[in-house]
Amino acid sequence: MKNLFWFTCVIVMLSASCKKDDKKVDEPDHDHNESEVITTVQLVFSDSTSGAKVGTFTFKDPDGDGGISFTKFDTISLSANSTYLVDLVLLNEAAQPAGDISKEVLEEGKDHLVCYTTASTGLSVERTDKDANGLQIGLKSKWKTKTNEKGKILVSLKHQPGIKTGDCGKGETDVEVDFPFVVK
Amino acid sequence: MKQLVFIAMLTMIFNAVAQKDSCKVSVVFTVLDYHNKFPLTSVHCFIDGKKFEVESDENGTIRFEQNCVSKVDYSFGLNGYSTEKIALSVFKRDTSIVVYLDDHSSSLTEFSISVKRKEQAVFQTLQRVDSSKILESRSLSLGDVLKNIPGVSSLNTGNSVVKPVLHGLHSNRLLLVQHDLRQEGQQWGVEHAPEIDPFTAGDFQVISGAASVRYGSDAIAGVVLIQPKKLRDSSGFNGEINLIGTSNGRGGTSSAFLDFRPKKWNSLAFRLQGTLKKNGNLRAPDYYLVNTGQEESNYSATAEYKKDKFSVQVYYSQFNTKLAIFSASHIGNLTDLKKAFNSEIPLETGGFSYDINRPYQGIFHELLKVKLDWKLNRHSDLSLVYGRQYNKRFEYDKHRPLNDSLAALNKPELEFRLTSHSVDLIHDLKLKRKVHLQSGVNLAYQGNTYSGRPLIPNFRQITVGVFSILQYKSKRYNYELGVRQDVRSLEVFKFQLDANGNNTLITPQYFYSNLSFNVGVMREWKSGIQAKLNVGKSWRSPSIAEMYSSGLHHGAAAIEYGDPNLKKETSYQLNAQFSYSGNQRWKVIVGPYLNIMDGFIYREPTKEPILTIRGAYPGFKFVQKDVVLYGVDVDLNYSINAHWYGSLKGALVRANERESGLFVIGMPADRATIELGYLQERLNNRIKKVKGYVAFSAVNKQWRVPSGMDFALPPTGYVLVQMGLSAQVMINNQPLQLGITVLNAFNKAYRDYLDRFRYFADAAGRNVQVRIGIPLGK
Repeated sequence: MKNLFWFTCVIVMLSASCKKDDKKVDEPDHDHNESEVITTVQLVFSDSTSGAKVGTFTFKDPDGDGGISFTKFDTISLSANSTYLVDLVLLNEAAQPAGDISKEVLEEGKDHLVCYTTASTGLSVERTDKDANGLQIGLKSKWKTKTNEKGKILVSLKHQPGIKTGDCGKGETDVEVDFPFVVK
Repeated sequence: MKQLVFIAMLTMIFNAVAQKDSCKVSVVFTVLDYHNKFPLTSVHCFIDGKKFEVESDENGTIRFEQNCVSKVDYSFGLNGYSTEKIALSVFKRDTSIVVYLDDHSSSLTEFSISVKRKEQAVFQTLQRVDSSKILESRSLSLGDVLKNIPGVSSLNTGNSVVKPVLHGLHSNRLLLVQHDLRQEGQQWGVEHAPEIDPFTAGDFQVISGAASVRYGSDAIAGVVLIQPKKLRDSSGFNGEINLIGTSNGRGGTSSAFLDFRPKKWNSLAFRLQGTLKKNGNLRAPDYYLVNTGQEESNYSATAEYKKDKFSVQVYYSQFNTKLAIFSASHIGNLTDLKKAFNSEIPLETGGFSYDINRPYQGIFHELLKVKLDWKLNRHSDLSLVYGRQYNKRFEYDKHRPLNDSLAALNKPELEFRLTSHSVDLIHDLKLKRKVHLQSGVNLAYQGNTYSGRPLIPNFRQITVGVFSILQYKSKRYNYELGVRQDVRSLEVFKFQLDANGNNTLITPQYFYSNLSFNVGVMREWKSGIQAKLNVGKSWRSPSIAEMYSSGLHHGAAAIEYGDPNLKKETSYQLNAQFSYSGNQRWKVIVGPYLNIMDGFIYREPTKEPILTIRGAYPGFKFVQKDVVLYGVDVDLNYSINAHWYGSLKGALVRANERESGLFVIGMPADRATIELGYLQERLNNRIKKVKGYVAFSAVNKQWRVPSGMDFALPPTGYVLVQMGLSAQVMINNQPLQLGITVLNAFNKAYRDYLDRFRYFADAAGRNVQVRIGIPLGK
């Protein structure tokens, strides 16, 4: 009799626990912290004298730093001996409507630094914006080109909460795209 | 002439007399528990009615020198057990005998004297961790306890995450069975340590070879059996408090257990156990390893009811840990990685702190076991085991969410929840000590869900296994034949971008049905040589990570791609073990093995790094190749005299792809440990069981690696020195267990090939561990 009692207990426990977990397996999580993913990096070039928009160059990776490959990777095409005013736009296009991440970076400007690094001497970039502490951010910059050239420019967004000094070597990399460029 | 004869006679008489006095043989008795075969300590021995001064040691051994007389009566006794009597005609050569003591825990078992050669189940080329080594390493980790067995090394993520590796294989290929249940956590992860508290167990065995027939088809490397000490038999209570301090990490561990059997209802017995552990940043010889602290709290409770033909046991345990991950290892993209590899010291250094900051792992593991046992009749037993495990892992990345208010919520970037249920029904039939037939059915259900970054998807897996093992003992040989059939169904639930760019739910299904088997034979010779040979086949279905990994695996600093089309792995194995223990001085065990694997799954780097918005990352994809693994484990022990001993343990592993001949990545390097030690059973009235030793462990540089497949070249070989001293000291009439162990005594800077932190920093330096064990009750 006692044995039968224990046996039943076990079977009951088994069936009870089974049911509890079953449902959730069928419904995978949708919310991948979608507000946090940066999917798109855009450099919007305007003529420094007229202010007219000259071109937009994009790198797009639909899942941010996930395994899916990038879907757009433009080559920056510029004219020789010119000066441009450039806006860096960061978007989260995984969300509907697309989230404006650069707005958040601007709001938390004292924790962020955009770095532009290139080995070529024909292209120079200068940041033109400043954060609340007087340090540069880099969402706005001025680009100067010289003669015909081809090369690469590394655009990276560093997150430096509390440690920002203007040094590009610090903090974590939130965005890093090595844009090829052509000056003709 | 007459004088010559006289001298000859005198000589003969002298010889006869001399021989009579000088004929001595060594006798070694090993006393084991009849039911679970555990060694029994402190067993008294009476020789011809007189009590022998030495009791059995922690391995159950009593050894002494015996004159060559015609007949001697031995008697063995221990509290809680029936006394065993043995009459022996002492042989002219050294003798080694196993004695079984019965505590009548299963009342219908035959109670008889069993004097036989070392009895071990054939399919097991098994080794057991020495109890003194358990005491030294259990406050470190389960992996550290198991490393004391030759053939077992470890896959580390620093000194905090230690995964056991047997014969080059680990994770999903090495089954951990604790308290009769298969450990089910996210064991596919190279940085996921087994969620088992070594303090809950008293016995650690490693069974290599195709033990898969009994425990599960995927135990390709073997099985680690982790079992608790038996609950007390007599009414009353007893227990122990253990306090351990470690200098490296300024850490402390406290663990205690209490066993209780009430006088009134003495069919019931209980155990309560708990462990608390904390340490701060570890230190390599030249710098601190910033963010390597750890916090752990584990609890367990056991309740048992035992009557004549029936017993039921309930066991519940909880394992909680918060583990900081060395921040300099949680690197981003290739640019950062290259910077880290080229740096002599880690990119982040700092001082000591107990703080656990991002990145860190949090693990919660809950286990419930209910076991019912019935003695059906004189010959057969039936047991039913139900188990439920819930494993929750969360990972907090270095990268906090961009949005400050979202960051303030402090949610983990990734959380997995794995629920596993299992039911085992096992029947044992024993006839005349010659035949043992064990048959059983295993049912297992598993469900996985996640939140956050979708590294591996949701899945549901149901497995049904049926097995039967037949053991037959003849006069000289022991035979074994085991067969198992497993049927498994896997259903995956994940979102995928379809042609229109919409996220749709797909549910791919997989079905596996395969046979595993094992055939073994063992023979013993009077000279003390024993040979075991095992041949078998086992298989493993690909894990969810191997099929569906997608995305950045921070712990591995890589983007991994699973392959949903992977097929099962099949392993054909030959395991042998040759041992010699006939000589009083020498004890030798040599275990060669050969493992031919079809469809071995591992990670291969992609041709180009993967470009993402965060930069370029190394990419890896899971592939399948036919490989061959082989090697040998060696365990030598030499008694220099009554007190001094020396030992040598070594292991070699070789692994090659069969078609190309290329080395297989991630295999342990050749290693050997030499130990010299001193044992004294009794120093004086107050100090007993003294042990002191020094050990040298040498690990070779692992040069057997395929080129172009790794971030960095394997590190150089190294030698580490370890020393220990322990004793039982009577203080206030209480026998306290005191011990001190110094690991990496010379504070050597080294990196191990199978430690993922080797890309970034040296391993931990010197660590002085001090231990006190305080007994409670009686």
